[in-house]
Amino acid sequence: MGKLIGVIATVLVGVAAATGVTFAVNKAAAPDKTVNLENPASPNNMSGNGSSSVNYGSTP
Amino acid sequence: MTAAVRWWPRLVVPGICLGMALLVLAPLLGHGFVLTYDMVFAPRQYLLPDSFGLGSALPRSVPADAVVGLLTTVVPGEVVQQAFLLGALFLGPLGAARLVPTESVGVRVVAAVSYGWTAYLAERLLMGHWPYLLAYAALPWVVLARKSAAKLVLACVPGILTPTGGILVGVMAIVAGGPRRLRVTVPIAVVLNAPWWVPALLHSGTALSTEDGVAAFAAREESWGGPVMSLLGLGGIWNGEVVPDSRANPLVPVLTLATVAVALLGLRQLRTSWARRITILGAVGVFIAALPTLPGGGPLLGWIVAHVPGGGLLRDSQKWVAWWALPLALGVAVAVDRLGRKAVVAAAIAIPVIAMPDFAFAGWGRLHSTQYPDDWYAVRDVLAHDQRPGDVVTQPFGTFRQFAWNRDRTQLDPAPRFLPRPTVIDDTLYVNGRPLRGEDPRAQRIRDGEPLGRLGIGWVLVERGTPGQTDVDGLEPVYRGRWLDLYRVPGPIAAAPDGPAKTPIIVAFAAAGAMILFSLLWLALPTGRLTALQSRRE
Repeated sequence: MGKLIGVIATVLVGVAAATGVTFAVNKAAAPDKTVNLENPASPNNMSGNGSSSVNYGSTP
Repeated sequence: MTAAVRWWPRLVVPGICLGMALLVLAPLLGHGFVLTYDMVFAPRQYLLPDSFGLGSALPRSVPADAVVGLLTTVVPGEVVQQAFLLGALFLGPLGAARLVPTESVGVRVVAAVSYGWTAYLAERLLMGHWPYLLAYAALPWVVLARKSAAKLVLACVPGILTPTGGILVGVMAIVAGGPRRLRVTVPIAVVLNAPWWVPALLHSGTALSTEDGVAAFAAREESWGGPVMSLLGLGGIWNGEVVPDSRANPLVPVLTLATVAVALLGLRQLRTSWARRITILGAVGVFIAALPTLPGGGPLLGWIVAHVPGGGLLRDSQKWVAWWALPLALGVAVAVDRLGRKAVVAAAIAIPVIAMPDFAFAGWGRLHSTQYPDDWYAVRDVLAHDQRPGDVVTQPFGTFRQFAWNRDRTQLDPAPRFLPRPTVIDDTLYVNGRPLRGEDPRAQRIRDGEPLGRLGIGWVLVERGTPGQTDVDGLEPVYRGRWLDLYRVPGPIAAAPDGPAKTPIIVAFAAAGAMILFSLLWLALPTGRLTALQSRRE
């Protein structure tokens, strides 16, 4: 019974420590700090025509 | 009551002209900018070297950019845009109405509608060529002012904002004045146009265009009548995307032939030398416009464009058909006057509108007003307040945009007119997906991959939501938004390449400005009025 409690406690502590370390590393490194979630950049080629340049006009 | 009876006929013609202008422009007169093809206005346009032709690019929009820059320091850009468009569509037909030698209000309305409801206006409005609209509006006033030097100068002013407009009004002034007035009209045309031709001469090393453009920008047929018939009906612009659908109506060539025949009959009745001269000028305009479509005309025009500095002005040749619009309207009105029947007057008023109803309501909904996203204001502020040197280059590196926030409408990149620093854009034009080489040497060096810092470029503006590739490797981000990103070019930034010499351009602007100011004072102060009175007594 004591061993079971010890294993469960160890797992819980391990999970908590892993969570804490992950949170701390993520907070420090902030890999997504440049992502603007509220005002996301619009992709180019939105019109989906695959063209790399816009035509000034067209003739028949 | 008598006074009211005497006065109301005078209001009919201006009222009709204003009504026509509002019928077209009312949907655009709200809050916002109309951004279509070559028409770009900004809330405030900054006065930059390019505004005066002092940059590396050819002075295509000089002095228009300087004038708009000055106006938008006191008036919001959208108000300036709306005033220009409304003024052009109102004053042009009003001038044509005044030019007709008649006492009949109905006949004047015929002239106004014939001149104010044309394919030329519709196509150039949709194409965003607002300076052409102003020049077109100025033409009848130039003819009206042919006997007074001061009035002639002021009549030319709306037209001299761009090289094409300046030539349209300048040549009309010379032709309408006739050989006896050449010593007055030629100096006026030369001095008023100096703000663009002086910098153009100083750019003469780069003022050659690619001859490929002649075929791309040739007049086109809008119906079975062929390109010449389209031109005689004041249409035929090269870009099929801006032609009103009604121009393809199979009855249009028949109507055009009938209108031209009636106009020629009317012009024969008008036995004045100035009318004969402007009719010949109109025919010359149609000939130049049709030249690329005539046998041998394309190669000839191609040689001129490729070898004569400034020959590129002839590339989009359909614009010269503006000279034909005035004799056409005048001739129709005079012919209707001679017939003197109310039913004929009513038909002559109704036919142009019925034949092209899709000019109304902003080209039947083709144009809309829009607002610049907040990102544009934020980037403008960053560039205005950041002390680090350098001009701006935009990505995707291209001339035209199709922003989702402007309904994917084709429009010129607004950055050079919106930002407070000189901005380089790729001036290569694509027609049917085929590139036509630009003329800006700095844009060419960027295309060749020269380091941006060495070219005086300190900033890269990435415009999003428009087709095109971007490459920001090695650049330092300064601003990120939904529609725009601004990057700093790392390392030392050289001074921007020297443009043309400043002194001749300053002299050119000063001379044209002084001529306009002197003409205004001459007409406003007693000196001019007394002199006119004295000459009448003599």
